[in-house]
Amino acid sequence: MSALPPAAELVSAELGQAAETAGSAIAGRSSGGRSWWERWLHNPAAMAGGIIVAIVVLIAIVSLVWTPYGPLSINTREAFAGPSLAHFFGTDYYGRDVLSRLMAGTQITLYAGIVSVLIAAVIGIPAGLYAAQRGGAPSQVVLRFADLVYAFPALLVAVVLAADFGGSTVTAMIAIGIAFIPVFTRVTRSGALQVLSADFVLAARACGQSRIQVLRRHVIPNIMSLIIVQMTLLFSVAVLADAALSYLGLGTAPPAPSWGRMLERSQQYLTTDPLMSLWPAIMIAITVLGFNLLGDGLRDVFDPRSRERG
Amino acid sequence: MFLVLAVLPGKPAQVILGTQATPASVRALTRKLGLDKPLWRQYADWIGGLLSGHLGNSYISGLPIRSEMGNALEVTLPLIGLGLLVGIIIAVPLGVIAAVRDRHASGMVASVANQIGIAIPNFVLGILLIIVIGVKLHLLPTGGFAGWSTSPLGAIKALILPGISLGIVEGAIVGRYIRTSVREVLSSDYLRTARAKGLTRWQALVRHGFRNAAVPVLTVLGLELAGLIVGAVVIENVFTLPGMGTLLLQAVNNRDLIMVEDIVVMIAAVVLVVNFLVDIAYHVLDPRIGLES
Repeated sequence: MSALPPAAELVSAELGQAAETAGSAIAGRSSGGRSWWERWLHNPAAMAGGIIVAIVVLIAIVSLVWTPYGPLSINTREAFAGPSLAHFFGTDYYGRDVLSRLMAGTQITLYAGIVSVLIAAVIGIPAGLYAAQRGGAPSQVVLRFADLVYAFPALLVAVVLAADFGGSTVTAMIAIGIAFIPVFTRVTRSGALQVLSADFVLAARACGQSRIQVLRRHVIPNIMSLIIVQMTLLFSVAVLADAALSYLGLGTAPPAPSWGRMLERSQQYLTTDPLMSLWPAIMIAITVLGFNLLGDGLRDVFDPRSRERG
Repeated sequence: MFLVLAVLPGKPAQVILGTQATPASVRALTRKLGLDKPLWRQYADWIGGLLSGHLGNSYISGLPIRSEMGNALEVTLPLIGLGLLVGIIIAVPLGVIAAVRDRHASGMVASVANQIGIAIPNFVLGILLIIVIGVKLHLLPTGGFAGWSTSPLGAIKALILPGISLGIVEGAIVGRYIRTSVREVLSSDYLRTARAKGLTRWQALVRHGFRNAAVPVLTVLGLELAGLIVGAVVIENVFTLPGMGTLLLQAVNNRDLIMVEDIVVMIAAVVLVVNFLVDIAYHVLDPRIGLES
């Protein structure tokens, strides 16, 4: 910087300011006159989603320190009990308290969701940034590779892993994480390309910032909202996929109380005790719905224009 | 892929014979299955077999995998077809109503129904349907499959509930894309021109709108076909249908690795081909889209 003549420094300061304004416009912070927080409060879907997610997270935290009964403690004398004051949601085939198991299952669900989304983000986002920054042949290689992974469903990855190692929470998380990588790569790349074509990036480069600095100071902050929305939406898919895998016996192994597994086991008793299957089914559906609504809502909140675009 | 499966622990012969087996019998079976050959040779044999249509024999049952797959496809293909049909029947009206009647009650209802449909996984829906229609009302069978030859009507009946569970969820997802697509078309200039010529909103949409809205929807439909194939694996397990999904999971549990490899490769190949066909259809429908985009 010190090598620049004073006049150029003045210009670069102005350009820097312009860069910040333009940056916040892309992130949608200043448009529409309201802050994103106010828009969130005025968006019923985002509110509902946020509340559901908050409750689910709260249940998981509470279950860490307290559940009505031990989620694994067996009491065969009370097996197949219906809902009562002692057991709000009844007991299962081993007399385990269903409410306690559902609460503990929340932990597994959130844990699996967080880890699989993070696996995908840690690999997918840098790949997307690299593709956007380099362009040309390297970008094509990254994108074709992403296409290839995209064509390979998470279920098949999980099947292969389970055939080798036996199904577990870890194999399920890895399978789901791998399947999500291309989504992050594509979203990051298209977002980054948009930011990189802006004038303020040119200004930043003219001021002597390196490519890495541009990525860190301008590109990443500006695509952060895109990434957060994508993470939330993928989280709901991860919950769904994890439930499906543990239902199939390719995920979390018994006796851990995963919702999918609870559903699978209680299905044998559908004719005699249909309620037992209903509870985990409801928990899965509500959690997926919550993250879905929150993700959709956040998209509208961060970027009001997307509402018109659908 | 093959390497991942072959290199890792768990010798198939040991698993087949159980923990009681003597080392000698394990060695004998390993030789019989051709697992004592060098890895590259096993791989070459397998690929060669795939290309010439010989999928090999199951490690467990010893039956040719091709005929086992053929039997399974008799269940899985109609199931996927039914799922696709149900999906389209649901997706088109749901998406169009949600878009056209955006600010009316009916549009809101369609949107909400859509969200709920996306949130309920297909296997959960399947179990709910079993509870309501199978267990409470006794209308349709809730599982099992006797085969087409014994009773065609019974076979169709057995596939109705699985097909619906599969189709509703996929339909909700596609419906969401249709809504976006129709919305975009509704705000386009050419549709306003059509309205200015005196067509009603619906006439304009039917004559000019739908064809344009169909292009992006087609891509999604291709992706969803892949989703249906995977969904069928899960749904077959819910309804205990003897299709590809059941075959695949059985193979995983028995560590019938050759069977797992064959089925996984088959499904992946079908998904790739479908995506490729959709890409081609995309350019045929809308020549403005360059192959480079």
